[in-house]
Amino acid sequence: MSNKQQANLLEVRGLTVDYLTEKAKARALENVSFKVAQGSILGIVGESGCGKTTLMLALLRLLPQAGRIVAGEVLFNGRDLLRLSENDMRSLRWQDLAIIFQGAMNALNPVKTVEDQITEVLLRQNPNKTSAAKRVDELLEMVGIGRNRKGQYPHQFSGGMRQRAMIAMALACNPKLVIADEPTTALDVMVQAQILELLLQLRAELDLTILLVTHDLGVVAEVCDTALVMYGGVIAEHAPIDAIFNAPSHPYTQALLGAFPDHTKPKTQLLSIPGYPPKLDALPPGCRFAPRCSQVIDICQLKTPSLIKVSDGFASCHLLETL
Amino acid sequence: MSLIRVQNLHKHFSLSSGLGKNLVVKAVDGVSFELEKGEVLALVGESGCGKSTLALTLMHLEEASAGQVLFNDNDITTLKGKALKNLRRDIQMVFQDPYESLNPLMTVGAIVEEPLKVHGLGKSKSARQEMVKKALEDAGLNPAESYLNRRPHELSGGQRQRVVIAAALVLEPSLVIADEPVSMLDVSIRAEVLGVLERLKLEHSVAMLFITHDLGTAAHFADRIAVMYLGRIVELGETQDVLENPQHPYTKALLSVIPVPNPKLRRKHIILQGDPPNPINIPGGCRFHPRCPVAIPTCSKQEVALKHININHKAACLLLDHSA
Ligand SMILES: Nc1ncnc2c1ncn2[C@@H]1O[C@H](COP(=O)(O)OP(=O)(O)OP(=O)(O)O)[C@@H](O)[C@H]1O
Ligand SMILES: Nc1ncnc2c1ncn2[C@@H]1O[C@H](COP(=O)(O)OP(=O)(O)OP(=O)(O)O)[C@@H](O)[C@H]1O
Ligand SMILES: [Mg+2]
Ligand SMILES: [Mg+2]
Repeated sequence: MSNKQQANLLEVRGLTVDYLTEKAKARALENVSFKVAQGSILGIVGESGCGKTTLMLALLRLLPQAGRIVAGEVLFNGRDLLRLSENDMRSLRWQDLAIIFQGAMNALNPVKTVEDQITEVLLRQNPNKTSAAKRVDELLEMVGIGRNRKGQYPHQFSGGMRQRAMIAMALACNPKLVIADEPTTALDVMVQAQILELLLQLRAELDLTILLVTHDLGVVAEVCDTALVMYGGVIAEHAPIDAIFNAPSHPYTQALLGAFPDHTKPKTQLLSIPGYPPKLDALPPGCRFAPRCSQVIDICQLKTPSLIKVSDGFASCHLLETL
Repeated sequence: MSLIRVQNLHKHFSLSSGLGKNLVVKAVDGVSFELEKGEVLALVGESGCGKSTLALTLMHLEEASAGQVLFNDNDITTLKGKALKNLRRDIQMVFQDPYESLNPLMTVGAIVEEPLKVHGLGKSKSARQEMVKKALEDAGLNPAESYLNRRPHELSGGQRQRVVIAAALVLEPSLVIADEPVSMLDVSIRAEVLGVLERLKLEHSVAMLFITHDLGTAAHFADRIAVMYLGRIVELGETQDVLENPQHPYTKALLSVIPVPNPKLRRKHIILQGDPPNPINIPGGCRFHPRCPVAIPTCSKQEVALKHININHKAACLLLDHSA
């Protein structure tokens, strides 16, 4: 049977997250729903504070103390992660799901060698030391770090090498889904290119499914299959990247593209988006993007738009409903 | 006459290795360029190639090890006292991080007024207030009155960076050196701050050295681009020339890996392996040869200087001669 349609590895339904602070309750994610096909790379973009990291942490049930998942389902291979026991979730987290945290390359333990840190992760799953030692070599080779350097400490590595070591650690137990939160943001373009190439190559070799958080639309265009554009805790648009870049449906996606520099089109003018993203404790009524939207109509300030099907994907905008 | 002419500028740091041996970091190692009034030159290159050190040396915040910086035809590498203070008024710097470069205890009004006091400008408090308001408005903070009494934590990232720009502008400099002024900002706000800088250039003829590792931003903003590698400029030309017709293999590689927001344009990447080499240990011959995908044996033996490709476009590569 030649079924090109890949099954969904991940399906998120109605995910809603609050942060409880002393003063108030802030809704950081509202009714977030999307599917991710096995073996694909989903880019997650949006301005700072729109909830990208919160979403990733919620999927893995790793939210900080103040965070609460108040509604939703996270179906991984059909199983709802939100209903698993803490124990089952913990073992799944290392075996099937892996995360490379934002700023992770600075999170390696400075007093342990890279080899020891990766070994530790492996022994947690399988206490056989010989097989762990072999696997460390394999993993380091996979991410392009020479064996002769495995006994070194993190400070002896450049930023790019530390990030590779983090990727090796994330891959230690053959995960099916890898979440990478801004894995290249602090790195130089050349090192970024090396890391992105590595992720693409690993995806091809290991059939990984990857969620890639970034605020660089260029990175999304270069490596992702689909993209999720977030704004103020909700999904503005979710579509294959051809649609996102060539026929964006949501005015926010359009505005982001207009503000993003493209060195192949140096003559076009960059257009800023007036105003700032909403504060979670002072959300505007109706559509959250309405106060900054150049195409705003009356209903936008009254009613929250829901995520609807548009030609190639999904978007939440009243203008698309009236079409 | 050029506003600033940099000639064979060097800045070397010596480090004691702890073993009694002295190591020399050749952070800036023979840089020459000129900048006209009202012109924007982007300086791009990998982390550690010497961009910030070059900026600090131009400002005379670091003392040059060798070479000259002629500003309005006066060599500033030897300036002292009052002459140096005047120079610091004419050349202003805007740094990367708007969170660190503002004193959290001062109001916006006081922050922008401070440089006027330091330089003894403005006859009275009210004259200074007028200058402060004008600078805030030129930096796009309108109406200025509503910002004067706010403190940095009450502002967004983009607004803070505009306060930094206003504090530079209030002295009416003829040259602004901006070191990664927008890299900490979200794209939506980045475009807005770039717009403010663009207006300065157009309406006040302020010249700018715009330091960035983002060639995309440079493409939209600069008149010319200088590509720096290990302490030297390896290519220099008009923006469009450099982008459309890059000559140096390093520029070609750098351009090939800038992510382009267009999935139809997934190009072949020239990915240089390894990390940029160390300015303590600069390779002989062409300093790029160990990473160069097209190097020939001569490249490791022969130093190369910048050569003209056309009147406005220069590059330092041996292979140019072979193709030309
Ligand atoms: N522990 C917390 N307690 C309260 N609010 C929080 C907490 N963590 C995050 N938030 C808030 O939740 C919102 C979403 O934050 P999040 O870190 O998910 O954004 P992000 O999209 O990852 O941003 P960035 O691009 O800056 O990383 C923000 O408004 C943030 O201030
Ligand atoms: N005061 C100093 N003493 C010794 N070495 C220094 C000093 N300042 C800078 N260097 C070294 O000089 C080189 C150039 O540094 P510089 O900060 O100018 O690079 P840069 O191009 O601005 O990099 P980035 O893009 O990361 O800001 C680096 O190797 C740096 O470690
Ligand atoms: Mg984040
Ligand atoms: Mg620097």
